[in-house]
Amino acid sequence: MLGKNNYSKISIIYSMLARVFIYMLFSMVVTSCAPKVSFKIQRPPMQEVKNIKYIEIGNFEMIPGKIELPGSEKLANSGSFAESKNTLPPAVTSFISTKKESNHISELVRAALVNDLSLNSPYQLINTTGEDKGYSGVLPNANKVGVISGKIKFSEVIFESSEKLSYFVSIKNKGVRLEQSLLAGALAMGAEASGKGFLIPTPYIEHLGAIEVEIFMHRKSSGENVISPQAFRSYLAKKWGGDPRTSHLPDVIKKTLSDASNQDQDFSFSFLTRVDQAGLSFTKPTEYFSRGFSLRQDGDVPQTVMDMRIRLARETAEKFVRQISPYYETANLIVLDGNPVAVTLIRGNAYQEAIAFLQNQDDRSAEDEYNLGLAFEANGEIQIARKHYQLALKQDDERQEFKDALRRTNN
Amino acid sequence: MSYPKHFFLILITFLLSSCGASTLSSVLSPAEINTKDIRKVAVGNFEIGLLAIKFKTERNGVWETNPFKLNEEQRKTISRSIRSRIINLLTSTPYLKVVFTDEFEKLENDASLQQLVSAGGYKTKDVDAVINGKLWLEIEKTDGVDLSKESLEYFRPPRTSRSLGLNLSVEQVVWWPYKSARGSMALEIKMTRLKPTEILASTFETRTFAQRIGGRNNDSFQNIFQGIATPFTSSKPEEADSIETSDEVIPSFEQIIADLAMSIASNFVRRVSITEKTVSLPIAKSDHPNTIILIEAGAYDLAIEQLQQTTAEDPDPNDLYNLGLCFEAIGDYGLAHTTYREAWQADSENLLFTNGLGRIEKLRRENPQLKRQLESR
Repeated sequence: MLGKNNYSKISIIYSMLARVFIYMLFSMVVTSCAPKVSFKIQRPPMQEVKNIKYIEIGNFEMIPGKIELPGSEKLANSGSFAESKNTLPPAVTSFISTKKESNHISELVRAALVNDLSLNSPYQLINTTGEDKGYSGVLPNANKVGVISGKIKFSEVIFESSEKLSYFVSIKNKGVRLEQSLLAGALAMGAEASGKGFLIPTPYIEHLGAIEVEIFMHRKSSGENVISPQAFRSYLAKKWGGDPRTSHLPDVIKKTLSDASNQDQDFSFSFLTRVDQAGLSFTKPTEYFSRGFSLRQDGDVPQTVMDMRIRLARETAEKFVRQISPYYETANLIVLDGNPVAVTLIRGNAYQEAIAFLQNQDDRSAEDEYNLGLAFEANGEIQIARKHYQLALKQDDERQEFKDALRRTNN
Repeated sequence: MSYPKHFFLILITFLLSSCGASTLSSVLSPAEINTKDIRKVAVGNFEIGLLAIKFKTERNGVWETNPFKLNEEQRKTISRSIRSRIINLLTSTPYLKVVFTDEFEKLENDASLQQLVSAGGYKTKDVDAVINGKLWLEIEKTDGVDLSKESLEYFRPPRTSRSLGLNLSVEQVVWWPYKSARGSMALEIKMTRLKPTEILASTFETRTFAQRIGGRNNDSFQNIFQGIATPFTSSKPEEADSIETSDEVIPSFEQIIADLAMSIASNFVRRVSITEKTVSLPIAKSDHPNTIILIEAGAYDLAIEQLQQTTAEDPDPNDLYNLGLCFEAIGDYGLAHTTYREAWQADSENLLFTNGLGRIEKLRRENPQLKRQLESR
């Protein structure tokens, strides 16, 4: 018992030292007085929605069928992909929707969609349940009502199993020369990789999921499509435990899926966001709590199946709402040394004031013209921003910042 | 244990204050959604979409799952406990009044509420809006074993100058038992205005909780970062010796549900109601130190009175900025913007003043649904 206590004391001290270091690093970052220009830029909707003011949520039905994988043509050309030594049996080579209602996916997609529309869109929601009834007493002009409905294909495969991994145990004599020790280490590793050693069943959990949602938006009065129907797909493949190299998905498909999504960036994401979250904990503790950052998140506990369904539902809803609503993106952009008053306004995030100020200046330098474009871009007026970037480039056609800005606002 | 915590609080306070300005504490934060006409709200039913509680065991790579079956009464209790937490938070906001009635709670689901509201068949009078919701919850508790290869060191010093002694490292496969719990909750909360009928807000929030005790020791970056915020935020750090808050005890189902629901509910309340929040905003240096003291103490109305007198006689930009700050703190963003603008016009290269202007612009830009709720004060 005494030994254990000593060990736990040492580990507490070690852990405290690690935290001390992070605190110091963090407090230095937070408190440095250097100016930071981070823009939250409003982007226009990807499709033009004409004369729609109200939105009704219609029916989201589950349909059977195969969910296309990203880059399916390339996959088809790669021939048989089930025969890889890293593929665990049974191999999952396609995602087939079986029209099973018990997974609540249509409800989750609907709820995620309503949330994004309620928070980010300029439309007024008049029915969010998918029921036909709606609020009969207050139905607005049906010509201005858009009805959103969808067809969902969803497939999930959950494995809770074990794989036999090789554990090659050895006795190392440390009283030998370095080259002998290295040779012994290499031999042990080679033996383990080739499957020599004890084969011990090692548990793992693997979640594979795919969703395809085809979303329609039609005018309630005429039934005509307001925007062109589009299918949005999201995929998820994640494994906990076992050998990280093996999967029930063949290597080719796994690589295609990870290229198509950014789930492999989990580490950098969690590292950066956790620094931000810790900052929030003392600048805005209420927000820190209400956004759930106070809840414990041990990374090595496997997700629940519902986590996967929610994540897929949210991803597709977010992709659709960007089609019909303006959305925000955070970008770190460079403000050039121009008129100091305008620079101060932009650095203080007062873009509208900066626009008004710069527009009143008769003699604008190339830098001022660029900064004016920047203020318009940050304010979501991309076309006008482009015009000013072009004027800046006309004055100085060598500046890389002007060319970058034009490229960025090309869409 | 608490010395380093206090040391760092002091260090950070010192570093923050070295940036040259004081800080402002409690200010009003606007609702993200325009709920200007809503004062009295009733809380309806929280329908259950999914409620799954599972126990998992893993030994030698064989998994066994035992679902915990909940009867109707237990399901209703969970739904009611979440409802009561939302009521609790709503009653603590100064701008919304909760009307206690079970008329809306009795309705089974959202469609029946919609029908009742459309027909205007509700008996409870004096209600501006109804809040109801739907819940999906999954909790898993796992009892399993990790495997790892560990080395044991055997050492015997050399006895003679020629002998090398014994220095062996013997590897062994070790099984480390662990227990873990993971909870995921998705809660859809909707606020419907009764007259004229309109869905004011609908949120779909998800929260997860994951804890693991025992198992192979891999102290990752995540675990270190998890601990960073604790001294500043957790309401329980001082009671770390109690069972409920210990890192070495997996919380009960009730505790997990309560923590997840509270977090979602407080975010919803933040969206629909004006809330008080603590923020750090810089105060400009002033020749009238008493106004700074008033602002620091949170006596904004009194500070406004004094600053209005002071700036009428001598419109010093620093005092104008501090006046704008007081308007911002009480949520009068229109006046705050005008006053910040006056300060900026007097000193147009002052970043402090443009930051004030930028904060108000940002607020308007990022909340398209927000209409200035408190400007009529």
